[in-house]
Amino acid sequence: MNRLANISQIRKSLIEGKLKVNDLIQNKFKEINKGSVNHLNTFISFEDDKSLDRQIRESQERYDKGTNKRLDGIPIGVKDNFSSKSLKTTCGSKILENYIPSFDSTVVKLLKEEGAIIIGKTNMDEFSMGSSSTSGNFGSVINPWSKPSLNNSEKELYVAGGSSGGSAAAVASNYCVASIGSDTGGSIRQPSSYCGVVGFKPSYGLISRFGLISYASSLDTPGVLTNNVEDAAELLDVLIKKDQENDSTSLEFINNNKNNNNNNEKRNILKEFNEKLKFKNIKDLVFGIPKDYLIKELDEDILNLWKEVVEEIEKRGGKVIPVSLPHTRYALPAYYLLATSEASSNLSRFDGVRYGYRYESGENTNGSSGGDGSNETIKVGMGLKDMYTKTRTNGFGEEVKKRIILGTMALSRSSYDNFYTKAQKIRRLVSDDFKQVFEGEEKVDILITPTAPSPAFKQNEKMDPIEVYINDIMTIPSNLAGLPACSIPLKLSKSNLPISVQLISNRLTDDNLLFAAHTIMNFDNFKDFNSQIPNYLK
Amino acid sequence: MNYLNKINKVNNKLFYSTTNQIKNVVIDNKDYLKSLKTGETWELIVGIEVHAQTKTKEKLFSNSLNIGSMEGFKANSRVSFVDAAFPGVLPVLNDKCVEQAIKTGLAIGGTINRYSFFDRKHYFYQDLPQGYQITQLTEPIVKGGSIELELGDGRQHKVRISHIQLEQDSGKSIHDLHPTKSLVDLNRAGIGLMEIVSHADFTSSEQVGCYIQKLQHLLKHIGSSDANMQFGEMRCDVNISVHKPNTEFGTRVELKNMISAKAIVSSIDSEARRQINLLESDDKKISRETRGFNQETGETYHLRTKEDEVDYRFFPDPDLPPLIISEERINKIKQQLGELPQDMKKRLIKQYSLTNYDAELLIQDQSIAKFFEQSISFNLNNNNNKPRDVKKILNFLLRDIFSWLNSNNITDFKSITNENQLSIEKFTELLDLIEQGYISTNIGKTILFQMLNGSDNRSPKTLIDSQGLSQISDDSLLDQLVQKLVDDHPKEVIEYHQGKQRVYKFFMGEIMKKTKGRSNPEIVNNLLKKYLDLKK
Repeated sequence: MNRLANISQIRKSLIEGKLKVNDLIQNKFKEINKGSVNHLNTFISFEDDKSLDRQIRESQERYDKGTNKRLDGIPIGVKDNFSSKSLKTTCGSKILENYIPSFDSTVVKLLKEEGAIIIGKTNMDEFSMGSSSTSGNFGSVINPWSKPSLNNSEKELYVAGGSSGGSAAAVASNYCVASIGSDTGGSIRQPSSYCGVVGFKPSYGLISRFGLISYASSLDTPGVLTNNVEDAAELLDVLIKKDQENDSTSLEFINNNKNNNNNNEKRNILKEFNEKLKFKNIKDLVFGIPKDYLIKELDEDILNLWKEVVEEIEKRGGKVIPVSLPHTRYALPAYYLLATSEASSNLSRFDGVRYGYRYESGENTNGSSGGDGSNETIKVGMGLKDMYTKTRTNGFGEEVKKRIILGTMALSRSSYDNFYTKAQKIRRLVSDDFKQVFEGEEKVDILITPTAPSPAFKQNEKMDPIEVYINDIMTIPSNLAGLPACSIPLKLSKSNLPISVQLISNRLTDDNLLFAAHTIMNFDNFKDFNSQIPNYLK
Repeated sequence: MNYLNKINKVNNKLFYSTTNQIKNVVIDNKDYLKSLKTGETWELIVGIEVHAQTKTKEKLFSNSLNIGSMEGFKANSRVSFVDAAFPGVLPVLNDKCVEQAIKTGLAIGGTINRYSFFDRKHYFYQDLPQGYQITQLTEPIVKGGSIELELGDGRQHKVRISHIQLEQDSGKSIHDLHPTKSLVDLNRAGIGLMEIVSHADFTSSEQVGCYIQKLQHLLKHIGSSDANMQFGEMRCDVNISVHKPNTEFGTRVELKNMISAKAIVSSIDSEARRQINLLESDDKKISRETRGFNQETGETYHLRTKEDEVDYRFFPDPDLPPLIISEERINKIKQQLGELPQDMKKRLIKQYSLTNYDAELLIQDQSIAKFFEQSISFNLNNNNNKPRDVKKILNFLLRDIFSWLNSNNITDFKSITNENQLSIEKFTELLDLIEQGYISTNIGKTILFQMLNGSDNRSPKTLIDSQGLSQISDDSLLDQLVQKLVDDHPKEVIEYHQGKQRVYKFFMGEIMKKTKGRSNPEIVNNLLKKYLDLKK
């Protein structure tokens, strides 16, 4: 079987009995542990054997009888910030290192209902704060496109991107068929680009955030990472469901078109995607190239790829026009104020009182927990304030603390108007820019931009924090506006690293975005990308 | 709560007892404080924040049970993952709480904000699981409104409401059950609160006492909160300052966590006294601070200075969309609201020619007013279709029944209007029996208390008959008794004719004694006059 068979192909083999669920799952574990246990450090924890065996058995029994579950037996990785019942959920942080939720996030619940087998929880930047998946409490994720030491050459380890780096690397390495990530400012798309997978962030509100441990509530968007667009469509169709009982920001997938009379009719993304594949072609779409994304930091290979995509579309009769999104350059600072403001608030529940890590007196402040038998004497509490301070100082990593402090500052009485309020105004202007392009005279359907200014960078490469933040410059605007956006891998750079473009469409036109992504990925120049095996797996 | 005493206390000014040094004075219809030491006049300014728990089955943002402050529930037994702020859970607004806030807003004549939203207020404390309280700072659900107060001396005083905001209650911290640990009970965490914020429109502690009672009563009347202060369903924070008339307002001090209307009134008196004493001493300076009130010493004490307060870092809660309320919904709730206490009072006074005092007592509890009105016209065919006498009903209701409620410590009138005690059927039957002369009013009271005590749930008539208490209206029997009495007391008869009226009462009393109170006083009256005149 093809290394990167899609879900419907795998399902077909399982239905026909050519493949057993047990073999499918066990093969994944063999791959994950090839070379060393959890070779690329893509996972923080794995489903325990007993539960896994039961799920495999039950799934196989369903296949033997004829299953109607759409993801039955399909191995999926879930980012470790989605709550999973009985399975440790750490958010990549020491403060939740032993936290086991008593409930499933809506995403996990929907996957389980369709028979998916969640094999483990993927590694990430702590609390999703980062663009490299190196900041977490559980070590760095290794990009599968890293270069192993060959002929005495030093091995070169690359970052997987972040914060959903574990999810991206696991799918690129075929450790699981698909994975779930969350995207606050590019956390699905940027690692997808670095690892060479499809990363799809739907319109804000379409997938419920219930159970997703919040980073920045108004930006956090659950999404999917897959090896092809068909699988993304399949998963989105399972996950897009209004969840009004648990999440007030959850929305129905309905029409965005105000002139349409059937405005409130519930839509089916998979059906509409398939219809478009059948009846539409590239000529039905208007593509826009925002010149504001042409920044000086842009890598040459990526610039060339961007140009190549435009040429290929035009060659096939597609319409491509230059557009302007003039407030793009303000999006980055606005994002870092808004995201950190919300984070400073959302993370205040991690106080050591009710769950997770709590600093105990006598504990070494450098991190390792104490308890060397000296706790026989009655512990007189250290006092509430002290407990808070030490718990949070010890429990959070450097990047998280940095962002909490930045957000706390932005919300403080003396800076609120200058920072938070101004950032909100910029957010509106950025949204209006997009609206103008999608709903104004030009009626653009899809914007094409690079996903990130460069391919994956080397691990331990010393980078200026501002430079790291700039990594998110292409992905942030669509979070601010709540737009669907996806990254599609198309080629390898000269240095043999995957490079991608990002597609953005108007709110609630996620089906159109899938269609465009599928169409471009299947251009002759790009369709062979998936046949290449990442270096580090060879 | 004390039905009978409630109003009296305000009227008698027990609530704002004056102190040795400071006296309440009224000049040109306005309230002032007078310092006896210096003879100076001071003006008191008070603003009040009332927190009332919404009367809803579930909490404000979760579906765990709102048990209010009911005792007897195991600690942390009514707590959802949302209430305890577990990672990843999100608030979902309980529409019933919104309805209660709208009802309250309409009842005070406020404007319902068609577009309001929720803000987060941040501070760290063990009984605040999220690390922030969800509240409404910028755009609260209700703006404006007012409450009209009637003071003891008959003056009216209007208090304007600034706004009502919906917010979460916190949990409870318990510091005295463990030698080294603080315990936390989150049963209360997340219950909906309506914070009703007044303007600084109070100029005497009496006004504050009136306001709290009035508000409490209003919330109960419309059913938006049970508003029992002793259960913490209603709590008050008070801002207080003093200044000389026609000068700028003084520095305000906040008094926190008062648990009864009485405590609030005394604490205001005490704090005003402290501030005036300070200002009249050499210090002449009040610092901005938050103070508590010690019930035992009757003094306020320092809790924290305002400078110590944390920056709450308010910002709009990104987990909650704006709260948009349609005009249709507001109108619908308006229609369902029914008659408000003040309107009811006006109507009762007009319709039944009641005194202001009686009407005020009746509307203390909607169920009492309802019972009163029912008693007038319930089952009238027993009574030749004539409406029952309002005065007589009021006598029973406001004197006898209220005093029985008080002596039995019953606060819920509704709880006694049942088959075994005081159903409307039994009460009106009793009234009719008195009206028909079957029993005297005095016997009627005896029967009423028997019914209230609930030991015998038979009908009033059966109760009377089984005890042989029906009134003696037999003319010949009474005739004999009166004639004999007059004959036996010639000395008293002479005194009577000399004009000593109290002798008449003696004769009346003797007959009542002989008939054990069962004789019809009207008949006895006529007979006495007849026989006394014969002896002239």
